[in-house]
Amino acid sequence: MDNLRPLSTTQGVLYGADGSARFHMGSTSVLVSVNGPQSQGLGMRDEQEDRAILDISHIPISGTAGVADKHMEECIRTTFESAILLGYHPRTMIQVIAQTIKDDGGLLAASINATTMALMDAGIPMTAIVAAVTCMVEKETGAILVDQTAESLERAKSIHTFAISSARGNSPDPNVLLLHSLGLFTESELSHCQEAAVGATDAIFAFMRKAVSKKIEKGHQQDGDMQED
Amino acid sequence: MTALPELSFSVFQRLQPAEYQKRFLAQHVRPDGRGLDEARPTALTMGAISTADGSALVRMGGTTVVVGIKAEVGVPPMDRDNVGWIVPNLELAPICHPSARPGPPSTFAQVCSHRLYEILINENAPVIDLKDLCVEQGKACWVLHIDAVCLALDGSVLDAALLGMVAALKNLRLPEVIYDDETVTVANPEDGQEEPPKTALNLHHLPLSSSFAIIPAEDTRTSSASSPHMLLDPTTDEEELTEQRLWVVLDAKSEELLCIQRLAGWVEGADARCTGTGGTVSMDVIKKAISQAKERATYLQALLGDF
Amino acid sequence: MSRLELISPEGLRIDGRRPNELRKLTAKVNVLSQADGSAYLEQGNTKVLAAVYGPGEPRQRSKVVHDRSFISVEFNIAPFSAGERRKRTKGDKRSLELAYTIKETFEAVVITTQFPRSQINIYLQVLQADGGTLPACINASTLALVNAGIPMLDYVCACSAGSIEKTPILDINYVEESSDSPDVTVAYLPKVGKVALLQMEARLHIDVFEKVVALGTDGCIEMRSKLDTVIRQGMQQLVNQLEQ
Repeated sequence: MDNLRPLSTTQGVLYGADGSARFHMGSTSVLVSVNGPQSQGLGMRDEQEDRAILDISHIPISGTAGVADKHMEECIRTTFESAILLGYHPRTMIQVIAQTIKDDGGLLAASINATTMALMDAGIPMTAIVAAVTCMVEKETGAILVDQTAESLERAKSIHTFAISSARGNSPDPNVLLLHSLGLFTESELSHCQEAAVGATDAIFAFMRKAVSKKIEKGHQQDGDMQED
Repeated sequence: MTALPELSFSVFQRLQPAEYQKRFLAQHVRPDGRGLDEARPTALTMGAISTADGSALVRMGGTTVVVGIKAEVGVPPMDRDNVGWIVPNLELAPICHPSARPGPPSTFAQVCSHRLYEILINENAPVIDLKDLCVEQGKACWVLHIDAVCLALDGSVLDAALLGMVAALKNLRLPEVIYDDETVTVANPEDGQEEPPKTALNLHHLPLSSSFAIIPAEDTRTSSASSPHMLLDPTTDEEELTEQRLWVVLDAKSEELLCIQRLAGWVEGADARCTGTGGTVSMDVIKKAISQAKERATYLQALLGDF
Repeated sequence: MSRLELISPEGLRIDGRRPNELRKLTAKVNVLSQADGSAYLEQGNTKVLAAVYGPGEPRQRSKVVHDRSFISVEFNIAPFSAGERRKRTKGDKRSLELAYTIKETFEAVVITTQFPRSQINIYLQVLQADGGTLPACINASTLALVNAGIPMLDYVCACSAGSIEKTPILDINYVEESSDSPDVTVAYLPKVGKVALLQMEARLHIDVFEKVVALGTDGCIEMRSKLDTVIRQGMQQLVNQLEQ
């Protein structure tokens, strides 16, 4: 159940940031920097006395951030609020900046994956790691396809983005942190998509683990850089 | 020992809002007297604004949204020359809530506008065929500015705004236009004696939505997590206290789903605040939400009348 | 195209009113549950919603005035309110000016010294504009302030007046406003007998001006009894609710 486009990731690409990562899903590519937990840049009004706040910026390839980027930021925030242990750092802010490098379908999923890698690089405590994937139901065939290119997504009847946490607990159900479905679809199509997403995210989790362990193995060498075999 | 002063309900609610709500939910009732799967009374008035080409006023409990559509003649997009534009926008007027701040649209308003845009522009289930808005291929088309203004905000603003937008589109009447060599003339009632005929648009799909606030239920006796409480049509208080919300949009025509989104428990005026510390959606909850949303859609469709 | 005939030979205006006649006024207080005071007002086809929050703690420290309350007015006009769609509905100079005028008017009438170091917010939302937006906003604000229980010297009653071919006309509508006839807005305190606001942005002969202002003032006095009825009705409703 792994029909993903080739994945690759690099952690620690930016020297100025507390954590950073680049994540490619096929040719869709996102660069994320993480700063914090810090009190710098945190307005009095936004400060929360019992937890850290997440400040997410999603920056498009060109031009200034529009309404679609705001929506993307909101999706990323929804996802990671449920995954980061915000209560560990009260009265602080964790700043996440996601820069789109190339959008070839599944940008939101790639942004979430890159954010997970960058948060790990910054050492932000999380309950689990998060992976995201975009599924689509093809208009003509009704087939459920995972992680498609922009060209292929134009043939979709419905598009579903899932972000799933690696911690499953005792429950047999997957831990879905983000669900964003759009198009024309039925309940059973949705649950089939979720099954496909669970399979795909399992593969992404395995990839993320390998990436991190390779980086640790490299030890004191400066950067962890790895390609999927 | 001196007796503690007796605390009134409102003091308790103010100091311990979560506990206050929990006591109600344990009895399967909500602080405003509704059952968990009960929506607030909903009223819809179409054509309330005479200066707009189509309009609607929606009241959903304490949430009031007025939607007006202004049709203008514009130029079709470069890549598709036989379609028109629709531009939906949701404005949370400063009047709507004490925490709403004057100034440029808040992130919340922008995100809401985008969500409504995604529903109305859905290529697989468009509410109106954009080709119907074409006046002259490549030269002129209608631009529909669908402006929703929230006058009072008490939760579930997306539902009220979407219902208002669909109703205003149903109420919309486009005037006759004459395209004549690079110039477009809108038939004007002042020129002729009688009002020229106006045409309504066909609505192909009927998106109707329901919001849910999902609150984990704690069984105090067994201390095991049972299935969470699902509150249909939540108020602002309920939205603030939940860690997650679900927005379900269905098409009342094909009875298929148009959109399902998990939304963070988040309110106007608290843009950078995060209220959630956890919570996930399970397929069980989604299934329940869909079936409740179906019932709600039937009710809302009746409000809209015949199509 | 011939010029629009604003006054017919019979002496009636374009909407059938006599020159000294106000438009139909319908209003209701207590329309918003969240606000401390609110009012909805229809003056002809002009529809305005007003909400008052406060007196409360000021949002900005710098705005605190140590011996009185500070009034802030937010004016917002719906994009679909007028004939042409408004592209920028917020922060344009016309709206800012209107808001400032209303703020100045009420700062003189509200007994602000009762609430030192506080802020009173007046929010105005225009849903439909058919001339006379400023007077309608002032009237709606008065209703909302009374509804919020904020002490004032008197009702601030506002009315517009103009002059067409030397005939003074009262409460001008959009068509009359957009023709180049002059228009004057008067806000008057009927009990005190003082003028709170007088605004004119056109040329008007001094002989006619006096007549126009007098007519406007008469309109304000008539407006007072109408607003008073609305307040009393709202109060009665509240009393009825309490009795139940």
